[in-house]
Amino acid sequence: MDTPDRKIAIICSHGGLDEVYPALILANAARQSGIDCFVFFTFWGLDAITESKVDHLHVNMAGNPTSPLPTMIAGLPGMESVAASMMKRKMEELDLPGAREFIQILDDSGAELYACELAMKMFGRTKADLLPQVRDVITAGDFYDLADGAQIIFT
Amino acid sequence: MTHEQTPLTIEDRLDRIATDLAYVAERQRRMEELVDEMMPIAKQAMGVAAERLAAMETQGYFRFGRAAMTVADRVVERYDQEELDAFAANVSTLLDTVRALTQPEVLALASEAGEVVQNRDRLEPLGVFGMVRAAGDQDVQRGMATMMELLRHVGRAADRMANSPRPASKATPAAPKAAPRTVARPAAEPAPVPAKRAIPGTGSSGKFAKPGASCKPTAPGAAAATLDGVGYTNDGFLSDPTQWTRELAEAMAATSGIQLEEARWKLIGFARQEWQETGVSPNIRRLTAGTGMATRDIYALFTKAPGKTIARLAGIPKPAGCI
Repeated sequence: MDTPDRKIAIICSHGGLDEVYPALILANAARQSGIDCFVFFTFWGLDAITESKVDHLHVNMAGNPTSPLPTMIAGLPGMESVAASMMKRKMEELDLPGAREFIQILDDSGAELYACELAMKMFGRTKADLLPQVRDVITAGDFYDLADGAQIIFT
Repeated sequence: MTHEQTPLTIEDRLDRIATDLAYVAERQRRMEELVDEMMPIAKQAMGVAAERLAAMETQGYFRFGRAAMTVADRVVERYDQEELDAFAANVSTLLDTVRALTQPEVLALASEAGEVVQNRDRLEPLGVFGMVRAAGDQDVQRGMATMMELLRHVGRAADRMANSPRPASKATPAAPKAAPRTVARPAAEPAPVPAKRAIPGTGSSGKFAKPGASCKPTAPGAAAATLDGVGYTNDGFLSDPTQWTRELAEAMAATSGIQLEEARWKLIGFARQEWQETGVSPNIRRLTAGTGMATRDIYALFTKAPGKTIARLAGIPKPAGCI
């Protein structure tokens, strides 16, 4: 409406369910508010746009000072799956879309999703490994060019 | 000189006691050293166990574990954030658990499990019938009995936690969990109230004086301006949804450069109906679910902030959800 030129650039660098969602929700909220939005997925954040990973994002409670679980317990094998499944159930109750659907919604709403070229090389992934909604694999410099004039959010 | 000898004897005795004490201290120190030496070893053993379990995880050998997990899920279903917080209060119990887990027997169990992984070539993927057949095996039965006993303990502990009284947290969370959508339902006639409040200057208080209500779209905002007898909030929404007419919607659309045709009317109609039925202005996700229209199409019809624009044209309050 009255936000003609506002732009938001979100850099998503972590791949936990609880780390990816803030980026996705912020991006979606931006589009819903009529703000142009670019999301740059880098490092572990790539998991959110990787075909084989997007449905298996976990929640790591270990080393999280606000986690209700002691780190020693949270570090036991399988805990991240348990935590993720609890969080997913909560998200379903709130009618939050799953990560894959969320990426689709973002693309449909006109948010532009990009993958980091360097991180792709580091993790040995190619464009074919990514979700089809990802527009391109670009460098950080390219991202700055695209997001010229945008407010940048790092998650 | 006897009176001089006495202190000497005492001194002598004190000396002996000191030697004894030093000896005890020395032993104590050795014990500590032993513990210090053992700790890294125990840690390493845990690391190896964790590694092997992680390996099993990636190889998919935890499929049965996942099934068991759903059982565990059911157990934890009765937990919410408050109960999880209660976990934190029971750290000492949990630490006891960890200590129990690092006992040699448990580590032996982990290494046994590790052997299974090393001999995995002999293992075949197991289907439902395979599991039934395997259930006949005595070793498996014993394993299952152990698991069941474990689950029983978990369940009992969960019960205890669920039933233990906790200050002010148990009574409240049940309600929003049961019906997140209907909680925000306003009284049947919410409209007249803000209409009466339609005094210039009260707009800002109406907009900002609702802390914590950001995800519960409910009553319309107060009017900041009145035009032709219709009150508008300071971001352009109707302050009284009952004042809405089709003509008004068309006029509002025209000033935004939007031509209302069938598809757009469908969205506006649904949004209005949804608000009348639930008291919640639909977000885009709800619009797609309710109208069957694709997100992409909705954004194509209302290019800037479709959810808000549709709500504005439908004369209903601004949708406030995050999604």
